[in-house]
Amino acid sequence: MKTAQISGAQLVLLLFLCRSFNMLTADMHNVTGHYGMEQLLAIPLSLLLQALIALPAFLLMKKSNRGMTESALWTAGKTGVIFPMISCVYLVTVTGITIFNLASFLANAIYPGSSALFFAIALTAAAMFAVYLGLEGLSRAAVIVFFFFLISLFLTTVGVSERIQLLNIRPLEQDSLSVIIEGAWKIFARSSTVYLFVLLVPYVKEKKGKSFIWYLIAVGIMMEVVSFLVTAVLGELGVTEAYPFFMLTTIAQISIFQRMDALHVSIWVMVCFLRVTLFLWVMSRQLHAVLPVRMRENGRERWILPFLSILSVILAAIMLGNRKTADFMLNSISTGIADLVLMAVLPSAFLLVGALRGLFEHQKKEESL
Amino acid sequence: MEKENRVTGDLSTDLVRLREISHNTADLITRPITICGIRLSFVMTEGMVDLNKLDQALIRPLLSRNFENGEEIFSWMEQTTVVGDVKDVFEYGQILSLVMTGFLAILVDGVPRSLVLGVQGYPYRSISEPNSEVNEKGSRESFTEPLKINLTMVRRRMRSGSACFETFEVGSESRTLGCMIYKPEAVSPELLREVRRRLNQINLKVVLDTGYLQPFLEGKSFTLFSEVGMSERPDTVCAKVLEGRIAILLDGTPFALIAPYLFSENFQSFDDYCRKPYFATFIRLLKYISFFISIFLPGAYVAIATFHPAVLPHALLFNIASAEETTPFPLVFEALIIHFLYEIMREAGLRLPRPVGHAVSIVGALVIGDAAVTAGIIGAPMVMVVALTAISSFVVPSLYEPVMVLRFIFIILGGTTGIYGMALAGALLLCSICQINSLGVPYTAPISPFTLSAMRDILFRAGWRRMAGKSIKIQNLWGSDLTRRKEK
Repeated sequence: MKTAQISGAQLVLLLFLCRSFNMLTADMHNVTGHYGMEQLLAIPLSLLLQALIALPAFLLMKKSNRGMTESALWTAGKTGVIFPMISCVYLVTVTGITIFNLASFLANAIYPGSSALFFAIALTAAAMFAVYLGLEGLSRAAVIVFFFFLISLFLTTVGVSERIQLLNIRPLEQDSLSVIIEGAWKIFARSSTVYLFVLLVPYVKEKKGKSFIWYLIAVGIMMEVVSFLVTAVLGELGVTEAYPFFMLTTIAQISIFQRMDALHVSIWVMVCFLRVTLFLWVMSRQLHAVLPVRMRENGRERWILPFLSILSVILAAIMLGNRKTADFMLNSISTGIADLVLMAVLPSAFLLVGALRGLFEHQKKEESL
Repeated sequence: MEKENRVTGDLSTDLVRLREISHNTADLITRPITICGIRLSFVMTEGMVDLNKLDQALIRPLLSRNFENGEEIFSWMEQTTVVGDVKDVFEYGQILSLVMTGFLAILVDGVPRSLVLGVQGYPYRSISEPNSEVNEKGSRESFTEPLKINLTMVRRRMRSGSACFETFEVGSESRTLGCMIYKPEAVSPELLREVRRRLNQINLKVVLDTGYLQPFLEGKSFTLFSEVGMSERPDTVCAKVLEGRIAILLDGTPFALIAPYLFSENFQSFDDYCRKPYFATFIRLLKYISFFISIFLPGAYVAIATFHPAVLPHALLFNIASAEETTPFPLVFEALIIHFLYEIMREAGLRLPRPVGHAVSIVGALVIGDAAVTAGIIGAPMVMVVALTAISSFVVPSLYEPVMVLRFIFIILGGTTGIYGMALAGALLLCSICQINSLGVPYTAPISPFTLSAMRDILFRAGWRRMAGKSIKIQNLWGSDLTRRKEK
């Protein structure tokens, strides 16, 4: 009786939370380097960019009536394995960076002097167990966490409302257009959840197109609110601060509670947990699809998840141990090339191959029969 | 072999055979009598037959008539005897099975069958007030042990005949009689099929309580929360059956199982529907808050005081610090010790006779609690936290077991890893609750997956005028794998 599919709304909320993880890190706030209207205008432009870049992937899935990995294998045969392989490398890197971000934040800001590796291992172990519980449970949990997230965001907003200085939002300058375009690209480059959306489309029951639009709108609103708050409250301080939104929560004061950081950190840990779990789930599904039948028969597939989890932790541990490696990894993943290749270049290539081999027409005929 | 099990018609042989099959059990009574020259025998279990009823309904009329042969006696009984069930039985095994549940079997010499009459009359506990689902308003009836009495209580509340009773036997040795109650127009056929399948798969020898059936009705995955509900109130069972659920009653148990059972149902009580909606809503919110307090408060207190003291107001922080200064243990140990002591006292109070139980509670609360603070073993704020937690945990009694276990886990996590560990474990707990499907219905429905129309009876309780318009069937909740049925 059990199904493995989720609704469009559940996916939107799940990915919204995954995207909001970046809220606590500096990623989302200082991409333009200009605190003001440039940043606020770069956000909608980046959403448009995301929609445009994801178009070939959606087109491929629609034409082949399959998920991304299956479409790659269907159109390009064995060569199509290149797609899940590149995808897994990208996703493992993003997972490692996520774990690194949380662990280094906790070890630096919340628990000074404690081992960051402990946080990384505990998070990955919990996420591994959650992957075993399945996507349904994860997506249902995301709906509940989303309400807590909204409460936390609301309380923080109320708590800092007295400190909002609209003067901090600088007007547009002369060379603003190039700054906005550059900012939009940088925001896109940090939006790995759009790619995740593409990969999760086959698991959505209905309203896939609408869900994507709602996802973009929801993320856009959240980013605008957070960017506005950070800019309006912190002003110049937001540029130098490593965790600007966290700083907001430390100065937010509601009634007897002197600061909201404990509440916010707990929500952020939950969000990070959901994010890492979802990444591990998607990766294990992708690898499962390309695993040779013989290995599947031997029951080797059960090692996929531990393998990916260990790999992610190792990556995070390397980054935690060496700041230069961490910077290199962060910079290389933030170029946006990986997203471009996975969502636009490779799907376009598969579309071309499929069209040349007449696969789509054949599929259409079969479906009409 | 089959012939050996059938009633022969020779009374002496039949009685000997029955004795043999029952291993000559002492409580099997065989009472041979002769009427108009025809030999017949009553077979019954000692103490399970109402002898007055038997005398008035059967023996007196029987002795006042003339019969020519055995068949005539049976046909007269079948036509005129006013008792419960009257059945023709041909096999010894069946005769014994019915006799053991309080039936009276009559064997007549020369007739190769037995007539079995329902004249049960064993002693049982009378209908009393519910103990675990105490209510302020509404009915004071709760289920009792005999199945038939319980079924009567349900039927009295659903007189339209829309509820269907389906009996079954469970336990190869105990042969316990059970009954599934459902409304054919409301229940999902898939759900009914699945419950029947799971009940058929039970391979226990003895079933003494509905608790024996519970694991067989639940899914295979390990979880702290139960996917099957329990109620001792016939009115609650009726309300659940109307929503498309299936209730299972078992002979000898004053509790009904309800499946599917959702997380939000733990926060609903019968009183909610007898009160004004605004007050019922307030009580319901209180229950949700109490649930969170009972799980998280001690852990959060330990975590914040140990790792994140900056969150607390200075005055409160100063009070906590001064109280903890005099105690020798870290906060996490204090919390564990006092909770452990509390659980011991609760368990002792529960098992002991009531007057002694009260005494234990008073000794525990006043003497040990006060003495521990005065002796400087435990800080006063911690006692307050534990007291609040303990009281909160009784607001939702059906969740006491998981709450108790989780509370200890969160205290340990709060004391060792602070908010991080608690948040991580909280998220994992949330995922594990959310992945539960109670017989095809998400356990966390209608909160997640969200069903707007069902919200009128989840966090809030709408008025009866609004709720009467449309009843929401369990299979119509969003995310359910069961086939939807049209709302009526």
